[in-house]
Amino acid sequence: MKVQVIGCNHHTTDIEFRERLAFQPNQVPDALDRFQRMHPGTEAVLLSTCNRVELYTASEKSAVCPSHEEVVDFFAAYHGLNATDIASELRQLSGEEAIRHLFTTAASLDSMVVGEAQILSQVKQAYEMANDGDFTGPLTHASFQAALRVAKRIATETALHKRRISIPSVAVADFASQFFERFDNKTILVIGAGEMGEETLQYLIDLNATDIHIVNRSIERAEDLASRTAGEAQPWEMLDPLLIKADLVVSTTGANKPIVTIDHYKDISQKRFQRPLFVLDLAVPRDFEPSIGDELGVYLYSIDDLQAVCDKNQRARQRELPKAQEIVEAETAKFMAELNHRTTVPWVKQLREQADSIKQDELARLLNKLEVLGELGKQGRKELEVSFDRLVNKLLHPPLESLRDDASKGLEHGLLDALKKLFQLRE
Amino acid sequence: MFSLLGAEWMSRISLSCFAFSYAITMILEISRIFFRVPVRWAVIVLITIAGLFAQSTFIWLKMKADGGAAPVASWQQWCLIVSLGLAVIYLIIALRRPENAFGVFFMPVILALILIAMAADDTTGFDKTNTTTWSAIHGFSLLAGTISVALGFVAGIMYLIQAYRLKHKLPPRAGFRLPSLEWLQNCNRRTLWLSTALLAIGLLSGIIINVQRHSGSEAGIPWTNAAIVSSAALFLWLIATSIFEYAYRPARQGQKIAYLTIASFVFLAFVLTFVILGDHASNATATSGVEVSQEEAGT
Repeated sequence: MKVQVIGCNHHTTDIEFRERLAFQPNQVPDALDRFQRMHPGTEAVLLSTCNRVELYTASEKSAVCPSHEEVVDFFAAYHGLNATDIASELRQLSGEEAIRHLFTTAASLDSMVVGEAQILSQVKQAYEMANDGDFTGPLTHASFQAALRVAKRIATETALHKRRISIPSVAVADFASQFFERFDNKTILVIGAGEMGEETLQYLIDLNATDIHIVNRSIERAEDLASRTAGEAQPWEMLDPLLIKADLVVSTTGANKPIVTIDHYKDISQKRFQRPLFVLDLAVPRDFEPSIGDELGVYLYSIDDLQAVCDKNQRARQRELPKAQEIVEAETAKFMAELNHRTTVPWVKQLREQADSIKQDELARLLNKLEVLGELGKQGRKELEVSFDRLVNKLLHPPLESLRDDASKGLEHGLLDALKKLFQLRE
Repeated sequence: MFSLLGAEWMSRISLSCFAFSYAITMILEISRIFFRVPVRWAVIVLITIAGLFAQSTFIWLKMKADGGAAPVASWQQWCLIVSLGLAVIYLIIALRRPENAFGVFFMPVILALILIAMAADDTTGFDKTNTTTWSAIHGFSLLAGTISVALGFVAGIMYLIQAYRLKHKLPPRAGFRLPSLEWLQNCNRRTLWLSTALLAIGLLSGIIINVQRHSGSEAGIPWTNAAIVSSAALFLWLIATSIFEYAYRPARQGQKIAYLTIASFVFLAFVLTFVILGDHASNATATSGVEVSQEEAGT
């Protein structure tokens, strides 16, 4: 029985290398199909994301499982690359290490941004795609289902995923959502058509924001952003009326001096009747004069304010890492114990059958003799059968108990091999 | 039925039983600031339900012992009913918004009311000799108005903390999130209007009762009674704040409404002090010639 992973990730290879090896989602079924035709009897799951390309393979018979070289050849052949160019970059992990890696990956502990949520759905998707094509089997089922369970456990028992670490997500989830109960009835003003503004807008749209106005000096760029999102492009002259009407402002212009000064805002403030205004000033240099933040009812956040929170959240995530790693270790040990136990099952079954066969032969022989002598009643026959059963069980119990103990510790003492040799068990 | 439920066991329920439950709830809610425990929320809900059960049973048994006339027979029971109302509201909100730590703000008010109930004299009950529909309206509206003012106070405090946090750009703690400013502001506005309406009903019904008594054979409460004067002042304050809130648009926004609800609570505390010290609605007052119904407890 063998489980292994061969591939590369962002820790060991650069993006150019990973791009050459990456599989598009529509390529995955075809790739797995080709792989399984080359290696029948091997279970396979292919995980290909922007940060990793990893092929998980498993087989009940270790000899069937492809070697590192064979997997390298497969990758090279599929992408039209030279196998020698990629061989050294693709690392192989087997057994416990492979399982630990899968658990760590699914729980997002191996991600570039530790705790990011996307990887779990990518692992799930990779497993489902392999399942749909019937490329999985008992070992990959067990290991991937355990990986999803471990990821869920870490998400529940640690705060690793609780804290957001991108500026737009912190701005919306940690602050805007603490300000507004709902967004579908709020007027949102986006000043400028910057990338950060677009990302923030996307988070707001996810929270059902609909009344969105985009103001930009170039109306074409505003229209372009509006067409990509859900906003309405407005000419620059609409800035003041929209500032009076807005509940939330996201500002990301490239202006080299503030576009809203304190005097300017005071005029606007009077017309707002002190209605609270939430401003995300994501521009550098800032679009809103900082003193506007001191005005009554104004909650002004600059990119530095949000970055400080992102950094703090990142540190908090790091503090959660040991706890998450402990869970991974415990779950890996548990999984391996189950896997090793499972490895011994066919051999134990064979040993029992062998012993049972001997018992049956000897019992039959003895019963025949006793029947001929007329010394065996119905009760005596039953007693003999029970006695033989007990004898076999008592003889097998100590070695099987020792084997079970050894399996829970990773079969490190080689008892299974000894058992095979001592009792001449064969595959 | 009383025997079926185990009267002996229930009769051992004391004020400290449910005070202890609520104190545990408060400690568990505060612990959200410091660490995460997966089952904490379920424990909080269960302990609060246990506290509510104990408190309801305690009030019911008291009512039985008092002849079953009405739940509010003394200042002690009045405080207990207000705290029970707040605890029920807390439980409903906590179930609907488990991510928010409402208990940190609700429980001190609930526990303070129970402490007042412990300190209050339970031997001198309200006068039960003359209960009318008006007196029932009077008592109920003042009781509900008090709960509403206390609720506004809790929401006001939460609003100010949340506004401070957002103004100073402090991120929310993982297990200790407050409701949004918008939610708290709406809550403040609603409680302000509700408490004004309820106290208006309470005051008007009280005036009607007193006018009826003055015009009849019974002796009414003097119009200069401190409780009546302070209640009227509280009502006028609430009317003024409601008009201010309605007519002056900036007053509807943000911290102003929170300050108004907190000030209303402080005002209410003063009024209650006057009322309790003035022995409004008690048997003692009645025996000295001023007979007041049991439900007049609020004024």
